[in-house]
Amino acid sequence: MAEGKSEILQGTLDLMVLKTLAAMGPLHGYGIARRIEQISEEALQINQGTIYASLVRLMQRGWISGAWGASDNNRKAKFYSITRAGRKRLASEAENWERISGVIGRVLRIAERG
Amino acid sequence: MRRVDEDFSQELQQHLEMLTEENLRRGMTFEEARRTAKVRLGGMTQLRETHRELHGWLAFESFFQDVRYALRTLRKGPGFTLVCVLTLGLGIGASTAIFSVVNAVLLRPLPYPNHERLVRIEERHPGSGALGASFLFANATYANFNDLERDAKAIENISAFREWKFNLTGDGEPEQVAGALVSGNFFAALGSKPALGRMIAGEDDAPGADNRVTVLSYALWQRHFGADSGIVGRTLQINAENYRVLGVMPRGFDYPERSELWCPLVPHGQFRDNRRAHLLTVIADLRAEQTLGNAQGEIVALGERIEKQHRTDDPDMALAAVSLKKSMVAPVQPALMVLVFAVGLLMVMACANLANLLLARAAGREKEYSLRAALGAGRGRLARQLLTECLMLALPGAALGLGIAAWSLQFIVALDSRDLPRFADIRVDWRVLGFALLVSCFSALLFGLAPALSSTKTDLNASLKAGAAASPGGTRRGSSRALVVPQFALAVVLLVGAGLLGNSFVRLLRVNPGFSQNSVLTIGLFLSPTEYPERDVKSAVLLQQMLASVRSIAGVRSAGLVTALPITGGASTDFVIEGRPLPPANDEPSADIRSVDASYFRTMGIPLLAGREFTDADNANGKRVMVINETMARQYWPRENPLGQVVTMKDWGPPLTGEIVGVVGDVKTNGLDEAVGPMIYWPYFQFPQLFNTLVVRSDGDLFRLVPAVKAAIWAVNKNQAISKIETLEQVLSASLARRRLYMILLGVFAGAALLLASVGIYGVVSYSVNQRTQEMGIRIAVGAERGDVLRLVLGQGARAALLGIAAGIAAALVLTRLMASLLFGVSATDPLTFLEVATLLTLVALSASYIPARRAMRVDPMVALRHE
Repeated sequence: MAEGKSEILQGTLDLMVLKTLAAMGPLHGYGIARRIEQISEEALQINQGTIYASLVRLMQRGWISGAWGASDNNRKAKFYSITRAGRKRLASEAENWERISGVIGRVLRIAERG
Repeated sequence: MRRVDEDFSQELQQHLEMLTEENLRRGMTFEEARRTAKVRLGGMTQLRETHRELHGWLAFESFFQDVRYALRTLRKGPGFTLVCVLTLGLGIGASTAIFSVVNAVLLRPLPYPNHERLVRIEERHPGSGALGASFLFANATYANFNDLERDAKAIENISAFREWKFNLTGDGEPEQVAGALVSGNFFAALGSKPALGRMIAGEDDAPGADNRVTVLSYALWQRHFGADSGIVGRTLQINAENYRVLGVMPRGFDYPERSELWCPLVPHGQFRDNRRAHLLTVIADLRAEQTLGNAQGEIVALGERIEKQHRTDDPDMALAAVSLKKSMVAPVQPALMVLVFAVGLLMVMACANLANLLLARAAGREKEYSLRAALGAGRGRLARQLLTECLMLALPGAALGLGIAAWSLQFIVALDSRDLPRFADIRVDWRVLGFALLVSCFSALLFGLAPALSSTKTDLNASLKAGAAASPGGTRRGSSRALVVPQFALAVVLLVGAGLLGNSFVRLLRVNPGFSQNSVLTIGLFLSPTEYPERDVKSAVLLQQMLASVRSIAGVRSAGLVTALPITGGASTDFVIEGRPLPPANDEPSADIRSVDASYFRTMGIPLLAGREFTDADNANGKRVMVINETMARQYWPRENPLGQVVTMKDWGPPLTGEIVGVVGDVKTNGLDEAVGPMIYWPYFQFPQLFNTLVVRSDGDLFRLVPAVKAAIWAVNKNQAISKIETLEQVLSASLARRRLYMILLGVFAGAALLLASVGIYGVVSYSVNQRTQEMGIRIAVGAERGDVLRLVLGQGARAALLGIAAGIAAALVLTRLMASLLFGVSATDPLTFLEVATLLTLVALSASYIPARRAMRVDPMVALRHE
């Protein structure tokens, strides 16, 4: 991976996929990957294939569902959308994330002050 | 899995295309765009690999999680698990067993290639509508068979047969075997093929052709001839004549009625034109492109024409075509339908019980579900886990059910029953297995899913906050109590049905058969028709010698002879009373006829009411005399003395006239449940017959007597075949076999229903006591007597049960009418049976509620209040 583009944790990617689907509505795999890259202002350039492992996990847990449909230029593509359980999960995970990242941030700042 | 793979490949392909397009828009060349896209997506093969693993593993893992969790939960409540599995096993077992019987008897096609086209042509006479009588009169005369064969166009292979007995002598012990005399195209009509040699065909039955030919059943070939492969062409001694073996039928072919031997039915002289002796069963194939309806129309019209031409011989005769299978199963269909109905009810009860248990449990586990939902388990995931639990219950339930089914089928087949058609075919087959699995999975899904869905709808916060005591299970408790009502209703229906059958049976056992059934051995003797032409006095001489020989055995008190035993049916005739105006042709009085020897009445214990019994002087040279039964005397000479009256018997060859010299008591002729009709007894020397039964009374062990009796008979004629050695008690008991079978089956169902109902009400009441522990504690704390608490809980169970019992009685009043034809001596709405059942069920409900009620009564208020 090129420098400046961080490796991302598995769980984090799942969370981002959920958030993306919650915000954008049904999307196909490429759309999700593109959207995550755009939002992160290309800082996070993922190996787009890894998105699919995330999608499988989320499907298995029933947080998203997938169905074949037609894309913008009338191509057959598989669209994913978030389920109600997914939304609940997203809410609690996001809260969790903010709390943890807040804590980590504080810890890091303390460390800097040394 | 393959589909998932293909799907994913397609998905990746699309992704790649989109990436490529994006790159193209950025101005790359196609080659470059493609390459960059591949890099950004990652290695396709590796992605596919990972996807497959992930997909498989996650599904697998969550399934095993479910199974492990389910097993753990079920182990924690062994009582619950056991009751569920037993309930399911009982329901599945009973329904599988009955379904197997119904499948073998009613559903499975007849095992003949032409089964779809086979019809039976029946003769109908007025008054032959009732079940018992229709069989006697459905048979056709030879003349009618001839007319059908000549004129009927919608059917082909029109053939006739007559069930017959054959004495097989020469090889080893003489043996009597059942079989049939069949017309030349009998086998062609069935479409069966021989296992060895050829079958009776074409001209084998033509008078003058070589009629001394025979076909053996597979079983007879194995048993009597040691599966001799050179059997075809061999000569056998059948009824003391030489017959050439044409062939052997394949294993399992035994039509009609367990036949083992077939010989041609040869229409000699008189027989061919006979329009009075209804002896033949006529079967045929529908022609291709003909429907049963078409054939029926033609046959009925033909019947009308024949009736018009021959009204003096056979008045009011009508013909009808019915499918062969239907005519075979008609006698048992009503009873089987009752059983199917009963087993359906039982299955519904089992399902209701299961639902009850699962619902109650679901309510008890609400907190657990809420917790798991709060921890992030999706609704689908929870439901799936519950379903796994149900399947964990259903599978052992199905296994247990199959065990029960296999065992009870063994029991049913062993119980009997020669007179259920196609009975030997009964077995658990794969369709039945499928049926059992379907039923169990269906009930598990249905009753697993309902509570699963309702519990996952729970408002998380509410139920977490509410805690255990005040669970919001009010409606669910109501619904499980509501399930007790139909359970009790169904139990009432089943118990009333079983009770009515049981009552009928007891009443039948109390019926006086008219003779004394203890200590009498019966032995079938069929004389060879070639050695002893019908009505030849030579046969009577032989029988007299045999009787003398048997009487000389030590331990024999008396021995007698009759043409057909009581209970088992027999020949009958129209008769005319001398000195009375002739009745119209279709309204002649008729009576059963038997030929007996002088000591028959004494041996059987049939009382003499007037006049005298036969003596040895009533022989071929003596005056023709007869003895009649009480019913005949009462019916035809209500105010006169029947003794000295003269009666002429019409149907058996040249009319035979005799004087009434005695009146004896009635005996049951066609079965304990059939009314007795007029009966005429002839001395066997004056009306000799080929079919005879020896009755031997002895005080000792009857079966120890058998070898001596056989030896005594063979001392007179070493080739005399002997058949059907039974005690008179066995004959009586066999006549009740079918009823006994129905009674036992329905009784078992009713017992199971009772068990299910009591488990059901126990479960509901004890669950509600658990839920209301706190409430009970408060009641006791504020001064309720313990007796009040007991009454409260008991009352709750009893109310539901009583409601169910009332509904059940209403339903039973309607439904038991369907089984009226199976009852004897009790009405379908017998108040005593209904009362007994209602009392029994009320007691069961009270005692099943009493156990949890006592627990409620003993609640310690302090403990209950501190419970939270």
